[in-house]
Amino acid sequence: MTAARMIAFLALALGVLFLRTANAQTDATRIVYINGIQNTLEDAQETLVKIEDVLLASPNHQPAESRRDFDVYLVWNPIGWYGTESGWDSLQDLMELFALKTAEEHFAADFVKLLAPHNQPAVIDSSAASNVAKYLDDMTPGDNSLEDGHALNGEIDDARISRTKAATLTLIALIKSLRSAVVVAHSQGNLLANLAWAKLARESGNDVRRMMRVVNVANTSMFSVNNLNFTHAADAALFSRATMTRASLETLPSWSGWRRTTPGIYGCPNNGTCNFVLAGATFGEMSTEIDYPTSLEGTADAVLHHSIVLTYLSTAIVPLVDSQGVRFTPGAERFVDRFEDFVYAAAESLEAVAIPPSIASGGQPQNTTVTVGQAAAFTAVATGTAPLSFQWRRNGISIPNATSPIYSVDAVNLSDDGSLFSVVVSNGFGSISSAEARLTVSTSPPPPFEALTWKGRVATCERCSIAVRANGTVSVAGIQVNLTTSPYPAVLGVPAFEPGPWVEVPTLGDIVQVSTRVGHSLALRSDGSVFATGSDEYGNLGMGGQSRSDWTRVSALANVRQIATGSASSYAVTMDGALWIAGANTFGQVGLDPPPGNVFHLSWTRVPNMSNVKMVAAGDVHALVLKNDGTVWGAGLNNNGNEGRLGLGTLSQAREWTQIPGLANVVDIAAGVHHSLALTANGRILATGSLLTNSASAYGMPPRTTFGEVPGITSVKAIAAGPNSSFAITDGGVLWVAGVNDSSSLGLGQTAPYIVTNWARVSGLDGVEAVASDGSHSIAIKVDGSLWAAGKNFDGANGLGKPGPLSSTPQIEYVWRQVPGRAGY
Amino acid sequence: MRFQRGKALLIGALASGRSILMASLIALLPACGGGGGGSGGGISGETINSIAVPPTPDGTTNQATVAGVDSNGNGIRDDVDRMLATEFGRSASAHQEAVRYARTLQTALTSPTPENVEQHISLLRCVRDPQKLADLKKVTLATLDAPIRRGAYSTTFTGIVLTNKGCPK
Repeated sequence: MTAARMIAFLALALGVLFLRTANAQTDATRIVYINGIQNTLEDAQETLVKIEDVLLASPNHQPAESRRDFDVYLVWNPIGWYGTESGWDSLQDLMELFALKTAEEHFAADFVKLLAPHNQPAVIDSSAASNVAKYLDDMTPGDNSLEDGHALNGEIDDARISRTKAATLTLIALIKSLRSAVVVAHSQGNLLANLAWAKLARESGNDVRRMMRVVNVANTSMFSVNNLNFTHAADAALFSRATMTRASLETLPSWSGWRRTTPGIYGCPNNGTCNFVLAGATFGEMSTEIDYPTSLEGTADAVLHHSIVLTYLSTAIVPLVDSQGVRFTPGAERFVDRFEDFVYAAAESLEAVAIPPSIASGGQPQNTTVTVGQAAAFTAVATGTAPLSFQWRRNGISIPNATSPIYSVDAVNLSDDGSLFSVVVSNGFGSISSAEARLTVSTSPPPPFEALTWKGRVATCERCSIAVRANGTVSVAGIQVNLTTSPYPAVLGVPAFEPGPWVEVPTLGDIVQVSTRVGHSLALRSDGSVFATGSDEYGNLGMGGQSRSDWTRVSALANVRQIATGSASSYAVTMDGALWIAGANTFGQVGLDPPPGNVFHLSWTRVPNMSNVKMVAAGDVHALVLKNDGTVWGAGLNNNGNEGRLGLGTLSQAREWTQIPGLANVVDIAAGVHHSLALTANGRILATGSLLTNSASAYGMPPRTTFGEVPGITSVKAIAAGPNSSFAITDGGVLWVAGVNDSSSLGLGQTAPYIVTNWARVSGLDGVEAVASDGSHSIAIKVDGSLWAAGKNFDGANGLGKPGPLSSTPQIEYVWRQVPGRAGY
Repeated sequence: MRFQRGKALLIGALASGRSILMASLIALLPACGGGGGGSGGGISGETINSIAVPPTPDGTTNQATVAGVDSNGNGIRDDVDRMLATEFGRSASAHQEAVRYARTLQTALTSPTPENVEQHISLLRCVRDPQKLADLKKVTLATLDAPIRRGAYSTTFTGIVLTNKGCPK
C-alpha cells in the first residue's frame, strides 16, 4: 500500500505542479473555456487548440505590437452525452439545460442587476448576487429544490447535480488561482459561468469585476418576451448582451411572463435542422449552414456536435449586432473574426477595472492574549487589485520591515501589554487600514496545555516513525532521504543516520505532539509553539515555500493546542479555538482558497469564521474538524469514485468547511486516505468512505458514503486511522483493528486476511495508549511506556534493527513486537 | 512569440530535480496497468491485422460492469482490444498509442484515483493534431459504449483542468 500511497501523492504533486506552472504570473491574458454538450475530453482539447489558434493569429490586431499573449485553459464540464450513435444518454445535458433555464428565468432580474454597464463603475448588487449564488448552494445532493415538480422529475439526481456543482466550483477555483480570466462559456457552460460570476460576486463584491468576464458562445435556445427574441438574460447580462440594449433588459417581466420557444431536445430531428444549429445565438443567427464533416451527416453526432470548433468558430457569416463596447474590426463578418474582437474587448474591460484594497470581516487581525516570553502573531486577509502591499503599525506607528500579511513577535514582554496592532493595505488604487487588535500580556503561568491524552504521541510516515516520550524528548526511526521514492529530505529533521534502530532528536524537547506525512513533519511544544521540518514545496510548513532540513520554529504560530499534517497541507488548532492552515488546497482540503495570485497558502492563515474548534484530523487530501459542541466539519475531496470519505454522499469536493450531517456528541475524529472515523461520547464509532474498489471498507462494515455506526465494537475510548485501516482502543487499552492489513500492519498474525472486514481484537497487546500506522507498518505506545511495532520494517521504519540492504526483502512483523531497549514513551 | 512558452510540465519537473521521482513514477505505471506495455495478447488464437486479440466477449457479461471483460488481463476490455486492432492495427505506432490511451482510460474509469486520472489526462495534453484527437476520441467512444461507463466517465473527469501552456506550438 505504501507504493500506492506514494503514487497518489506524486499525482497530487504533479497536479499541483501543473497548477503552479499554470499560475506563473505573466502578462498574458488568461482564457478559461468551459464546454457545453457533446464534448469528450478530446473534443474539449480540440476546442482549446482552436481557441489558441484563433487568438494566436489575431488577424484583427496588427501590427504585432497590438496583439496580446494568451494562456488558454479549459475546465471540463461533464455534460454527459458523448456522441455515440447508439443512444442519447443525455440526462446530464437535460439536467444542466434545465438548471440553466431555471436559474436564468427565475433569477432573470437578479442576473441583470449583477451587470455593471460596460466599462463604467458600478456597485455590485449584493442582494442579487446572494440570490443567484444561492442557486449554486441549492445544488446540494439530497437537499435541493430542483429534483421535484417538473418535467424532469426523477432525472435530476444527486450524481448529476454533484458533477455540475463540482465543475462549477473548479471553475471558480481556477479563476481565483489565475487572479483574473476571460471565461469563454459554450452553451450549457453558460450555466457554470453564470453561477461562478454570482458566487464570486457574493464573495468579493465589486472585486468580481476584476476577476472575470464572460464571452458566451453557442447558446442552445431562444426565448421570446415582449415579442422580442433573444437569448437568455444571463447570456446578455455578463458581457455579451449582443442582441439587445441593457435598458430593455431591465424592463423584463418576471420570469413567469416568459415564453419558452426552444424546441424540445427529444424533438430534434436527425437531419441536422434542430434548434441547436439554427437558434439565434449570442451573436445572432447564422446565415450559412454549419459545415459538418460528411462523415457525421445523418448521425446523432451531426445533430449535437455544435462545439465551437465546428460551429461558432467556423467561418460562418454572422450579422453585426449591438457592439456593447466591442470594437468590431471593419470587414470582420465571420464569427471566427468577431470572436477575437469579443475576447480582446473583454480583456480590456477586465483590466480597466481598478479595485482598491479591502479587508474582509473574517480577515481582520484578532485580539491576542499570551504569556510573557511567548510568541504572538497577527494576520490580515485582504483583497484588491494586485500587487497589494502591507505595512503593520504598532500603536499607530509603522513597524520597520513589517510588510507581509503576517506580523509576529517572537517573545513578548510586559511592555507589550495593551499594544494595538493594525495593518495598512495599499495598492495603486487606494489604501485601507485594518481594525486594531490588542495584545494582552499575562504574567500568570501559561494556561495548562489541554493535552489530548494520546493524540500525537506517535506518528508514522512513508518508511519512518516518530514517537514522543513522556518527558518530551523525541525518537525517530526509518529513513528520511530516499531519492528512489521521495524527493523530500529531512522529514525527520535529524542529521543522516544509519537506518535500523531508533535514534534521538537532539534539537527537540518538551514536545507533546508530533504529526507527519509523506514529506513534512510538525512538532508541538508544551508552550504552544510549533516546530517544522521537511518539504515546504506547497507551503506545507507555512514558511514561504522554503523547505527545512532541521526542526525550525514556526514563527507565525503561537498558543497552539493541536497539530495535523495532510499530504501537502498542515493544520493547527489554537487555544482560542481557531483553525490555522497552510499548504495546498488543490482538493479543497484546507477549506480556504489561497489569496489572489497564489496557488498555495505559503504562510499560515487563520480560517475565517471557524471558531470553537477542538481538534483537527487530516487525511491525504481531506480533513475533519471537531468543534467543542460535538459537531464535525469537513473539507477536501469527498468522492473520487463513490467513496464519500467525508461523509457527504456523492458530493465531489467540499471546498469550504462544511458541517457533516448525522454527527453529534462526537469526542474524537480520525482520517485515513479514503475514509473517516468519528467517536461519540457513548463510545460508539461512526465511519464513512470506502477502499478503491468500492467493495470493502477500512472500518469493518460495508462501505458507506455517509457516516454510519460500525457494528461489533463498543466502549471505545480513542480512535486512529491508517491510510486504509482503522484502530480503536477500548477499556483497559485493548486494541481493535479493521481494514487493509497490508504487510501485516495490523499485527494479527501471518494467516490474517489482507482485508479485515470485521473488527478484530489484537491479542497480547492490552494497555495501549497510542497507535499510528502508515499502512505498511504500525507503531503503538503502551501505558508502561514501552514501544511496539508491527508490519514491514522497510528501511528500518519499525526501528527493529538493521533492515539489511535496501534491495533485500524487508523483515515483516506479523504480530506486534516490543521494540527492545526503548522505554519512557 | 504570441503564447507564453513556460516550462513544459514534465520537462520542468525533470529540470527541477525531479528526474528520479519521475523516472520512478514512469517505471511503476506499466505494472499498474495489469499487463505491461504490450499490445494485448490473445488467448483465442485469433488475430486482426496480425495482432493477437482476445475472443469477442459475451455481451451481457461485458456490459454488466464498468470494467467489463478483460480476459487477457492487459488492462483493456476485450471488445476494445479488438476495436483497436481493427481501427489502428495497420500502423504499429498508432496502435501502440491507442492501446496506451485505452489502458489509461480503463484504469481511470475502474480505479478513479487522482494519479490514474492524471495519467490519462497527461496523454491528452499538448496534442494539437486534429487527426490524432479524432483517433483518441474513437478510443474514448469505444470505451464509453454503455450508460454505466459514460456515467463513470462523467464522474471521473468532472472539473479536470487542461492547458497547452508550455507545449511546443
